[in-house]
Amino acid sequence: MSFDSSNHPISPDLYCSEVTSEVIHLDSDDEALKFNVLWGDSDHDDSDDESILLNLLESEHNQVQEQTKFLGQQLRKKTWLINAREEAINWILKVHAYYSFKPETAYLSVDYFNRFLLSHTFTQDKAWPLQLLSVTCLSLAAKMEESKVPLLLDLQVIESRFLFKPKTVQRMELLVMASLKWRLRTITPFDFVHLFISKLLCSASTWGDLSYIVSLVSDVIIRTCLVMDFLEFSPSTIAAAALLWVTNQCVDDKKSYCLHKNISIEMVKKCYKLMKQKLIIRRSELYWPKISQLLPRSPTCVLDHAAAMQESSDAHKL
Amino acid sequence: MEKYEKLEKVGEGTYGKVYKAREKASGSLVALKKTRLEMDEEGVPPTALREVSLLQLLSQSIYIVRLLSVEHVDKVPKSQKSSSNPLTKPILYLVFEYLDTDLKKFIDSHRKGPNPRPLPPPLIQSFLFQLCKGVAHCHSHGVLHRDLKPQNLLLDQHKGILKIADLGLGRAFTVPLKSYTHEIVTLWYRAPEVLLGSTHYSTGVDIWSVGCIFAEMVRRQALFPGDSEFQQLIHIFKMLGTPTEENWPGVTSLRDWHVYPRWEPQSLAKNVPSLGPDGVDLLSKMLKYNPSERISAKAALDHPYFDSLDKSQF
Repeated sequence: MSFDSSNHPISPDLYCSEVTSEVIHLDSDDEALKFNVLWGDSDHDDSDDESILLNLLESEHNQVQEQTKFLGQQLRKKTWLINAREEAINWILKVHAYYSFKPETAYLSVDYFNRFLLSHTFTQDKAWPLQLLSVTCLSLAAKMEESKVPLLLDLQVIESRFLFKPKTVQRMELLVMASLKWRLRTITPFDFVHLFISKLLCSASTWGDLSYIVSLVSDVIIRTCLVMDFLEFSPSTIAAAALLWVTNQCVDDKKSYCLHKNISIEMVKKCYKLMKQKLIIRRSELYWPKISQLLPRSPTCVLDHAAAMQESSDAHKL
Repeated sequence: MEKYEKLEKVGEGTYGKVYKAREKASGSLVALKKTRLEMDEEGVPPTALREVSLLQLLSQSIYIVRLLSVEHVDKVPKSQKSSSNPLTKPILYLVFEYLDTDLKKFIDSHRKGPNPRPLPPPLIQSFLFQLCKGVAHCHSHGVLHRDLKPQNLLLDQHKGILKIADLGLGRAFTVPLKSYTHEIVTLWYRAPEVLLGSTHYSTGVDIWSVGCIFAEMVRRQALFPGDSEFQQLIHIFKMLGTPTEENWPGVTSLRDWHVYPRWEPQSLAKNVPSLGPDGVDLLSKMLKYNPSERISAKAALDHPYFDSLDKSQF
């Protein structure tokens, strides 16, 4: 992968410079076509990235067959479950923050939770089953992603009305895994973020810039877990929209094409719009150290700079 | 588990015993990997979780051992069978396709015993090609194996098939800078960047292991048989030369770097005397100190060493 080598800071810069010059001269359809060809057909040492991205998108397509998108429809019929689900996810995020787990762990926990809800019915009168499910899904995700996994009792340190015996959680783990057909390695938006960044952002040529952007994008992705409406979107769409949102760019055909030809521009637009509607309002629900509210400088490769500034103004007005 | 008849214990995996068994209905042979779930405090072990879910992801490749099913049983100890309220012991069985041997046993059978003889070069070529195919499949799906060694490479001797097994230490990687721990690779096959304390490693750690296995097939003995991390590094440095900032930028900044004696590289060809120049070249590309210079599994498949191999059979 291109990031593995500290000897390659020059290469991306040179490549980005070429792109910048192309951008500067864009003033006709022919130029736009050249731009697309340059991005889409570029042949350099990122072919491995391209291969990984293609495999991820194929795996994602197979994964989506599991119909998590229909969970949203089911949930809307049960108001109590919407609230209970959000409460459960909030609990997961608190424990996640307490142990400083990775963003992937939080996302996977919620993914398992959602998928289990699809195949099982819960009754309203009892609260403990959803709490047990929360503990179990967080435990499974931590085991998949974290190097150090707390014991089952230690996972329940945060305020909860019920404390489950390890044996009980273990049995629930087996039930959840059987229900999910042991498919715990699922594609998440995080699988796409670095690949998209390397395609879209020319100015992120230092690790510092990259880490900062990744941190902001991760923050947005985690917050989508709390909003049921995002269940409609595939992980790659969420990753693309979150990256564009964080870097303060509009969604247009060129950017979507830059990421991958298989990514639907319409869905990215819709997802981006939903982020705009939902996530600013929910900013207060952060559970980990607050990141500076300053957005990064606009990358030099942004096409519609003026529109981006306008977008920024609109965002602040909300 | 009523549908399987245990035949014999055949080994130990990362976290449990492995049995040869027969499926009663079809008569076909399977391998049962057993995991006791007695450590209640942690629930199902992470190694079992990762192995199963990664195998689900990778199962399309014929170069990865196939997981047939996962069975959960509650075993009642004999001493409590007459009890009205027995304390059951939950056990997890991973049911795999059965392959009759592994590469370690195969190499050993050519080194000692009644008929010592080299592995035929075309067979080494074939096994290495299949290994690279399997590793390329893992890596293209964002999975590091992290414990490649001859014991984890299962063989169907009759058909000349090699399959990668035991993903208990496998891990999905998605970002190049992610930090990992040292729960990794048996010492002899461990990459130098891991031995020197790097936690930011990637696909190169598997390629290093492949190189060690390649050499071991040729030599019929391990290339770097260290018995401690320090000795492992000494073995490597004595043969390949002590790494420098010139051939491995950043090496002296790694956490476990010390001042080491300054060994000059030995001739790699001399250590694998029966290997031709193309093979030596491929091996040298797998054993580059700088992980970013190590050949990828995918690129290895196109190396001239495999030119004389009939690839249509794969």
